[in-house]
Amino acid sequence: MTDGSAGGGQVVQSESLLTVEDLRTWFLTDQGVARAVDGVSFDVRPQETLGIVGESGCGKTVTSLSILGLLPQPPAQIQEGSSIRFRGEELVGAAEKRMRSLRGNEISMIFQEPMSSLNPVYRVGDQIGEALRLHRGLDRRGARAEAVRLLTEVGIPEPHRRVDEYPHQLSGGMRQRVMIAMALSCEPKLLIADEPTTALDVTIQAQILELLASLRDSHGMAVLLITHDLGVVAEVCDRVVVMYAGQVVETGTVYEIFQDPKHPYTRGLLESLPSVEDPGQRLQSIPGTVPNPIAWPDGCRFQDRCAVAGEGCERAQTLHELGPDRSARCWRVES
Amino acid sequence: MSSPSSGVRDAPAIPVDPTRRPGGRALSAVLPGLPQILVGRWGTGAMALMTWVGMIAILVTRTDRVLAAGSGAWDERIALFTLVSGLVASWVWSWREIGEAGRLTTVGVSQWDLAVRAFSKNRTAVAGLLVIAGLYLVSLVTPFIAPHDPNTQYDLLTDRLVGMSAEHPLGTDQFARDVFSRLLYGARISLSIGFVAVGISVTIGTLLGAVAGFFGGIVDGAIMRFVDMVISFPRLILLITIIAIFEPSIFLIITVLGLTLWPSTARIVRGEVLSLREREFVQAAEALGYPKKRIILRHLVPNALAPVIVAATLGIGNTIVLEAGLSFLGLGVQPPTPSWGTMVASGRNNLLGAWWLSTFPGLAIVFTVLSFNLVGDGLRDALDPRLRS
Repeated sequence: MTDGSAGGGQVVQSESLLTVEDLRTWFLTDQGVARAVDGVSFDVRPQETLGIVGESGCGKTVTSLSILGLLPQPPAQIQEGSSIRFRGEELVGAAEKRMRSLRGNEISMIFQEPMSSLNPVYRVGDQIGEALRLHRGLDRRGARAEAVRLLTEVGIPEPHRRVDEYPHQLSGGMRQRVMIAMALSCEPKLLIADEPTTALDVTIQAQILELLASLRDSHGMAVLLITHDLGVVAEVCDRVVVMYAGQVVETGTVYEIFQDPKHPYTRGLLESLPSVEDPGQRLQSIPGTVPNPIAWPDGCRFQDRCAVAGEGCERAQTLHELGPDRSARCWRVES
Repeated sequence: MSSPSSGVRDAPAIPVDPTRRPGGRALSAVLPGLPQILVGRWGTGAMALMTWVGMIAILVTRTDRVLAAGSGAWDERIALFTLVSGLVASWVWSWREIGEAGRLTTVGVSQWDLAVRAFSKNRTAVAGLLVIAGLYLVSLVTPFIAPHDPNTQYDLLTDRLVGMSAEHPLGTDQFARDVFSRLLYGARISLSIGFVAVGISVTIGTLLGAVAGFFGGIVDGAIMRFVDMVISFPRLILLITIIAIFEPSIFLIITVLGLTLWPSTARIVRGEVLSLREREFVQAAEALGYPKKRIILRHLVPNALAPVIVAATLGIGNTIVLEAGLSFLGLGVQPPTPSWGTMVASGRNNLLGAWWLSTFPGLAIVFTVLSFNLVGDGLRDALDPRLRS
């Protein structure tokens, strides 16, 4: 089985739950082809938490929406040769009907903005119940009882009362808990969490992350956590995929990424975190912004912002294998 | 938290509404609605009291007609059903409302509940709603109220163009028919045309608008160009043409109005859906694998409904005017069937000698449409969270 510990470094290769291979999701726009996701590969193993990290505009969300087949096509287009396999089943080009039965059942997703991710006109219990009735065939009564149980499980106080509340009567943290309850309702094997804590207070963030970790263990599901917050990654992830400009630039266990970042982008992200050991120090930042996906720079896509750019960076970079689950997209790691 | 025992999990003490008094029960049993009026909830209270008193009055003064209605024509049976259910509903509602132990609950207060609260504070809108409710109630029990048959001609020599009297409360017309009875029966035509035509157009418009907004692309383009086409037709000319080709009848008018009024609803709904579908709860519904039909009908349409309700209410008023206009031109309801529009039209020749012929149906149109507009304005304010105070 998977060695889920963060500090292992000796992760035993096991059958993966989700395998993404050379995923290229492009958007056809009036200005040209936006290569939002451009050759991304990673895998998620059962019961692990994989973090995908990167700034806004790196293609994190497009990757997750591609997995669920939720991007409108056109303008989105998943290119030939891309492959997303869930328990061995190819999802790219799968029938919409098949995708619908996977969504919610096998793969669930929670979103960034808990304020708008619940339907304002229905009671919380009815919204959880809808998923239960559609996917698990429960009747009205059973769905309500199950909704109360799920609300209890995600740590909502007074679930019997809250089940009859409307979303506008709940706080942001509670709404996110309700979203998690909905996502859990059908015991998915994989939960995709797209910046689940970004819109929440810091104290609530920690609670939600804790909840996600404990639910992952008790339900035996894998979590694909998408975030730009390395603090969040350090807290709950087993392995990390760092994305930049539509590509994977570094992979590794959380320990490896934090202790020995290989790619200058990862180092930049880490340096921009406040440090406990050295308080009062001015925070570093990576200059510039993520380039426009319609015109990625030639050669290394990070070179314009890279602190150590130099000769050799004008070549397109390939991902160098550095060990099991360890790789970086920078020619300097070879030496 | 000041009270020592209060933890997060303790249910807060339920505050008792000070406006409710325990003595209301007995009063409610005799005159439902009156206790509610006395404590300030005059909108709902007046509705119940109006229904109760009106139905009792009919029962007492027209006992013979009510008793015979069970085996009478279909409109008499509807009237009987309305009478009985009106009595039962107003009494039971008042009894239960009084008995609800004076709770002001905060659990499960929906956006609709908030809108209802905002609406009930708007006095003119509630008054408009009462007028409309009264009109619909009256038109349902017309067979019991009307003093005469609307189409019976009395003695053309003695009863023609007679002014107001006890026998004929609003006088008679040039064919010696009772104007008051015709006014009552005409209300059924005007109100039902407005209601049914708007019902048809709102249904079509909502569905097409939601489909266009949800799918976008070619579907959206096709539907919205069709909408543009229907809108660009001059409606009155279209109506006149269609009615000129076919025989004018009430069903034809309803159909034509229903089939030409929907584009505005479709536009409203499409706009709402376009912005709603970017909201994350729609994405979440898709991520949970719900079928598209369900997402449109259960998640998008209910959220797009508020402006539709406002437009529909105002639309009923417009449709009543439109029908009156058509009938005035002789293209609407055909004589001898009474409708407010035809009554205004046929009375205009005798306007100098018999002013009551056109005046009362005209006033009826004005007050009805005014009420619908007041309610529509009130709904717009109540349903828009930004305008809620």
